[in-house]
Amino acid sequence: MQYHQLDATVRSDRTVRRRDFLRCVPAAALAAGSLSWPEQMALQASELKQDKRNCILLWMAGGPSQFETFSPLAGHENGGGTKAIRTAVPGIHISEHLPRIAEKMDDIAIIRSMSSKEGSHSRASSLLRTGYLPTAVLKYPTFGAVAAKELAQREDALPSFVRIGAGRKSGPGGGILGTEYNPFLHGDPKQPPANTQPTTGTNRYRKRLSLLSRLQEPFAQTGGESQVETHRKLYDTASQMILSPQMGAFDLTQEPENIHAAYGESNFASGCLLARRLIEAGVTFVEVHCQGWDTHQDNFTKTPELASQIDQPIAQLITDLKQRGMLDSTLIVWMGEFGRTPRVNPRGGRDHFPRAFSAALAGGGIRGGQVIGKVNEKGTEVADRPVSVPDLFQTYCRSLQIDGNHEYMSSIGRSIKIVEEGKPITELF
Amino acid sequence: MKNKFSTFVRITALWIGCFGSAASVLAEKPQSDLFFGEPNTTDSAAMTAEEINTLFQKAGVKGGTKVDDYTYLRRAFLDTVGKAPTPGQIDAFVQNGSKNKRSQMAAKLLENPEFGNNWGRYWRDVILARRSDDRALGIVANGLTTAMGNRLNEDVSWRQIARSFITASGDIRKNGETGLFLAQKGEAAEITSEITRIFMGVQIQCAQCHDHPSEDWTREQFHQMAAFFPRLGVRRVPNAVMRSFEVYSADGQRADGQRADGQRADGQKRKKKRKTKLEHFMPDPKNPKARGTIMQPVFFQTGQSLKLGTPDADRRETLAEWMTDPDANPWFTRAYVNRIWSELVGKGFYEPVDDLGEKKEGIHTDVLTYLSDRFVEEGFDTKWLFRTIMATDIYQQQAGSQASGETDSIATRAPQPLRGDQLFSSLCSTLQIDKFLNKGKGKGGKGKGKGGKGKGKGGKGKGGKGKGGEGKGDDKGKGPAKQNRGAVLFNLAFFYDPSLPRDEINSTIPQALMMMNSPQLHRFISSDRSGGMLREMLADDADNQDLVKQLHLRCLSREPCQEELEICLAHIEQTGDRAEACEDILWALINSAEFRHRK
Repeated sequence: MQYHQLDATVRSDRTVRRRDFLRCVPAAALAAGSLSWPEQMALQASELKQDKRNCILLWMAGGPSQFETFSPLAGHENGGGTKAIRTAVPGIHISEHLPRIAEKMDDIAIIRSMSSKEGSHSRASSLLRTGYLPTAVLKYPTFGAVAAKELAQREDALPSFVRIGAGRKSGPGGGILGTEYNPFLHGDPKQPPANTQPTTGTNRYRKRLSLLSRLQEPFAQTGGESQVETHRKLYDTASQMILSPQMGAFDLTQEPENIHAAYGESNFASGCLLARRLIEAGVTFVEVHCQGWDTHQDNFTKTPELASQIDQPIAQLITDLKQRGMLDSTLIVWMGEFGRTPRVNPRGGRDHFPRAFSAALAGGGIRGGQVIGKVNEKGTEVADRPVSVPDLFQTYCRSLQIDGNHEYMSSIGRSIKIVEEGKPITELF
Repeated sequence: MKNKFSTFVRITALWIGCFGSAASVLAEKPQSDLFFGEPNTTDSAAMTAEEINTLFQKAGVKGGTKVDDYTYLRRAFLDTVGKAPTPGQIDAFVQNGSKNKRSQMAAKLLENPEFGNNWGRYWRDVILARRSDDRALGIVANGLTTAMGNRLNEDVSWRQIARSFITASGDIRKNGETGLFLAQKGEAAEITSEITRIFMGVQIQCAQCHDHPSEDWTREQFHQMAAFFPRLGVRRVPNAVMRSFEVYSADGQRADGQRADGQRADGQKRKKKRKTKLEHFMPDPKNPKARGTIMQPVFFQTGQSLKLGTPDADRRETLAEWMTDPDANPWFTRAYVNRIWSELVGKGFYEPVDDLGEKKEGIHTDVLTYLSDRFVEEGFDTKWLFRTIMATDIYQQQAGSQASGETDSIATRAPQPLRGDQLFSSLCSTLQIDKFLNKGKGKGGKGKGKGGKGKGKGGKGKGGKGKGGEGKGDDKGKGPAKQNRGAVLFNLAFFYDPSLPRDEINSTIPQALMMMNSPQLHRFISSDRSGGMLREMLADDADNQDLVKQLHLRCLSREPCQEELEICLAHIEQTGDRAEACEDILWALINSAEFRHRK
């Protein structure tokens, strides 16, 4: 099941593109020429499934301080006294507040030279999640929507793009790709998603659906034919989804105690565990949000506290995906909308700072154990290998095997590229 | 005699209009008032509608079957007050034998304050749908709805409304009409795009970076237009109890960004000073870091211009005047008439409704021109426009009844999806949720009547500089109509951009899930709820057939057909438990495609 699946009949798919199936055929099998055609097809199908790329975005809403996370400035006053610790990779140091992530440094690549010009929360959030500054002219789709469109397989029962723990201001959605690419919003990972459980027993629910279907006929016969048809497909898809056994993916109680313990207690930890379950169940893109990084005051109490919420779950997410053989096909992205000022303000806080900040990547074919770029000793400027937001998006595309140059058409006939300009960070692959 | 003569005047006006003569004074309302005393606006709407019918007939558009009273009433209710009628209202209307009952009903509905509330929400969605700053949503959404709604209810002319939005200033929480500026963060280029798109239906923004591919506008023209807005600024209101912003004129600032009084312009404790430029500069694409070329404010449609150095208030006042002048700029009027026509009839003369222009292909544009000219003569009277369109044959035609197979014709009505707030209001009235929402909340019935402003219709009429019957400051006393949480949740789930073509509006899975499984809705469907709609209905009606009929009237504003009746009676029979069966029927009806559409 896909949101866009039902859309195909509603309007001609403006942005449809044949996926490059050949790309996924194992070269060795083709070269050997030893397989019969049906065998090749079967193999191709299973390879397609296995090779399907996915993404988990760990979104640090509010703008996390780079100095208390991945780019400590030990020894300089701008470092605010935060200590740097060793990681599993000699020579790479990160903040003392992320000890477990430090142990996973082999799989993680840090970008310390992210740079943008946008310092307002909502606009910077749009920029970092769509690759474009928001405009009145057209609504850019968020990268999760792009990934869902380009990568998701239509037979999946679950939504292809799920956003966990985002609150009401949830951020950009499908934009010009249409509402069917909006994320499926899920507030509390410890509860079932909203409205996915019939308010009556399943049997009565089925009876109601059947009654509904029969009562639609008269409207269909009096001018509402296509509306009823679309509506019927929508209701079929929605009801099949919530009655499907795959909905069990949302049920964290199915995980054994030791797994829960390994991820930790916080809501964010449950979100990470749920993200792993969803990817396993075929979801293409999962966002897990962690709120509260806007530390204008008391940065040195708040950020360590937040870091302690994310440290264990992120480390475990990497471990878990790796153990299940899913890390290579799943890109994990850690970022927020910007970083925070090197100067500590009089209230012990750090303010918005887009000029030089950090992001971290793991999995999805990314070569871990390295740091991209650096800032000067004061943390005020990028000193080496600046990475722009489009560069970052080109990197996602490369990792997820999406053609960043592909264009979508807006309703007024303006085309936009998935990513405008920018180059992938080739050192990462 | 009177009728014949005024028809003559109208037709003359039409012909004069067609030949593009400026001598349309004859047909102007003040003139005809001299002849006939009190104008009968209902008649003038009816006659215009008649003329439109004739124009369509001449063009070979065959009218389909007229809708029955049930369908008309539901359509008229949703189009004006934004919700479905109650069974009582339906019965009264159907049994009313008056010949003019449809136009009387339309006129009555337009005087209901819910008319302004409904269309205020529509314009809120239009203006905020393409916001480039999300802060607008929380801060100004309610104020914007109220600002637009009050003006519509108080018969402020569309021209005056547009002016008040273009010239708006001050605290955003107090002056909702500033919403567009906050939504675009005070950025000149974005404001230009939105003001031309919303009020003129023209997409000039493509010319921001390159000459427009399909129209004649150049980059230079776009940036000349943007030059009306460089001095407009948006900043935090310092020390406000509730976080707020204000739209201000930056004329007093020195060019280096510091205000003459030495205060920081943006009111924020930032080290870097915000530079609100006093003039607009067109960037050089080859050298984006350079300042670019200084631009003089020129209105692209007419070529009228202002001098550099003109203060912000004058720039915006003048632009508002030029832009809304029907003689100089027909697109202002056409954009509004086309949009309202498209909303009411289901298909506009131009689609999408915000992409009009000389080079765009429209259908039956002669009708649009005629109706627009009449609208100008009627002093940009919104309610008149609604009455007129609702009186046309094409409005009252049955959906899907076009037999001739012209699928592209303007006469082919397709059922339209309800907007989120229409759906919510309909659910509230169908399930009698209103009753519970207003209970125990002191705020419930807070002075929603007509604000006795004593303004009258004086501000109407063409031309005339200055602010005439402007309703500025009106909203202050009333305070924005606060939406309840249910409405907010519904809007989040069911929101769509009303400017999009309807075939691009798709229902989503979360919407279906909400309608099917929301525990909140479930409580109102349940027959257990004391004082609940179904419980009372079950207590009142002994007859199953009558129950099914009542449920259909409540949900779909019509009686069930034989087939539906049989299906429902069989369901009651099979289920055994009548209350349970009726809950199922109610659930099925509000989950039906018909409930979510306006036929």
